[in-house]
Amino acid sequence: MRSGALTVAVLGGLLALLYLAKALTYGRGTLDDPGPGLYPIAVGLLFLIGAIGTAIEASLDAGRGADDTVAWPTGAASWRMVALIAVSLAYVFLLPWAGHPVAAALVTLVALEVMGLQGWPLKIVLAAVAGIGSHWLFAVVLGVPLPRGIWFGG
Amino acid sequence: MDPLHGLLYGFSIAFAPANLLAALAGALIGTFVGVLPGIGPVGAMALLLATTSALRPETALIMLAGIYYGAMYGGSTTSILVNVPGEAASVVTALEGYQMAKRGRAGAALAVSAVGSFVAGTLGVVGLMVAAPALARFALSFGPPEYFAIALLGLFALSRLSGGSFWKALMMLALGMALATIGMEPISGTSRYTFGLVKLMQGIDLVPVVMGLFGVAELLVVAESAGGLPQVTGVKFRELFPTIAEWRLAFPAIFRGTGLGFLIGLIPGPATVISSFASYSLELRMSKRPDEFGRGAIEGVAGPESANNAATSAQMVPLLALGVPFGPATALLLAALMIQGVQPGPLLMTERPEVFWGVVTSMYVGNLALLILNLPLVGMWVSLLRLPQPVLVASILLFMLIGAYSVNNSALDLLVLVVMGIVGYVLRKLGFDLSGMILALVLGPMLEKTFRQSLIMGLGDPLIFVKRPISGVLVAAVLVIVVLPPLLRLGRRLRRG
Repeated sequence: MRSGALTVAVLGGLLALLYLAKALTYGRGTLDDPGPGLYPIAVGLLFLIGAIGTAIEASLDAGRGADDTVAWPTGAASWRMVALIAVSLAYVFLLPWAGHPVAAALVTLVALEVMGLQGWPLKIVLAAVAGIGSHWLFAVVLGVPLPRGIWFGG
Repeated sequence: MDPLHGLLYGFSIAFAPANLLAALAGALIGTFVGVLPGIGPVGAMALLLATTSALRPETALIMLAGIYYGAMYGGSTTSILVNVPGEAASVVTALEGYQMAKRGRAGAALAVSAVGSFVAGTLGVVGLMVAAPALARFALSFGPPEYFAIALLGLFALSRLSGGSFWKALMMLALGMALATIGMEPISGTSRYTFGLVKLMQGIDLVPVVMGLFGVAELLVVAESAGGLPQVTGVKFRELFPTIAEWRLAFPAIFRGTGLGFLIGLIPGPATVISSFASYSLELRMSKRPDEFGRGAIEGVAGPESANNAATSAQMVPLLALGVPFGPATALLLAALMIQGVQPGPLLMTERPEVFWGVVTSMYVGNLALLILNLPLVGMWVSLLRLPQPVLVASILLFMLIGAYSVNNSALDLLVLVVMGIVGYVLRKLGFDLSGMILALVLGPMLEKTFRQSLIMGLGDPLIFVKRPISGVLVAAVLVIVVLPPLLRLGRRLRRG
């Protein structure tokens, strides 16, 4: 865990430095009339202290020979996760033109497949029900303006 | 309005059809997410936060609060039946509850857990009715330095008490505060960290962040293991009756758990989890048969389950009286009120009595509904565990995507959801606790506002935070929380040589 924590600490430290650099451009004002940059500077310093503390702690753990194992997913598990992330991103890009019913059906179909539901006819029926049903529930009943897509007139 | 009139007025609000429906819906959804290992109350509340803008403030809060305390009831079911806690506060219930189930006393454990939750929930609301107005009256004298110090204490206490590394928690807390500074700054109108993107001018929305960190990340964990939900056997209604001897052991534990849970709930930090562990420890110490613990002691179910429900009610005290949440779930309740333009605080009871008393009394109704839902209908909740996991994962993912989009009808929120899901998954794997980040994101604007107002009030003197007695005590408490544990550790190391 320590090498992972160290990586996050280093990335966090860099992010804190970038955040601080940007904060310095906003104008600190004075203590009796603080500007928009003063609070972000304090937050950035806190962020940096947290990152440095995490890095030191991870290094000390390494020195003590602490357990370094994080069970990252491999094989089928990593494929399932990547597929779920990819189909979520696909929903983001498909939604404006393909519309919610189609994009939702695709998300459902892929999620059912990667999570191991057996039988394509069942998966297709469930995906269609999810696409049309969720559109009816959220867009028609609850009034959420979900795009219908080019096939259904916008 | 005195408590009696407030209560009567509150019942007239709580029994309005829309509010009654909201309480029942919240209780149902809360039990549902509590029963199912996976999406917890915070994820479910975030999911529904987007839909609450169409509701009246009291209706929205009644529903979300119902989810919060409903999850405490539901969480015990899977702990007892399959040794898989539905949410964190029920972890300790599994220790004795599952052992009872193995001895054929699952029904008794479920009944004691539900009755304990009901007693604690109901007494907790009485405590809330007494404590919140008193605290609100006291808080009328608070100024920006006091509010800044309270918020800071809440954040640091959560960081320290969540377990794990303080430095990691501090980093997450600062990240949440940093995310809260994105967008147009309210005093001078300066755009900060927007990088020219107009959509970022309004800031990062809380809903996709919370759903990503708690919901999508949790789904990824489920997808990683994909072991399916455990097989369970049903519990028949006639099995739900503890013996007289079991009640004799359980009732004192229920009342001890209620008192302890309520007190812990008033302190900043992950109160529901801490209270359940503290109650278990108390029962173990007070027991005349400590050797029974670990083998199915009913007090070890009754106490912790009562404690976490009482803590839930107590956590509403600082939220409703001060407008300051002490945990991620109450932070979402605050966010729901802010979406509606309602600012909780000492004046809430006088300016928006329908919100305060409506929510408080709806908790009586909700607790009664939960007792009915969790005892006679326990078989229905158990059958939820037989739902195919792929169907659950697909539907929860779809609901989250719709929920994130519906906040602002923006694809940017969907991207935030997915990115935060990945970030949340990686950080959880590496042992980072994310609850402080959510609390900091919600409290960030208030922290900045009160920080700047305090400096202006003090004519630029930063010592204003320690010169005023109340804020001085609170700042001292923050220092103790931050400095004392490492000093104690250092002392122990020196003693060991």
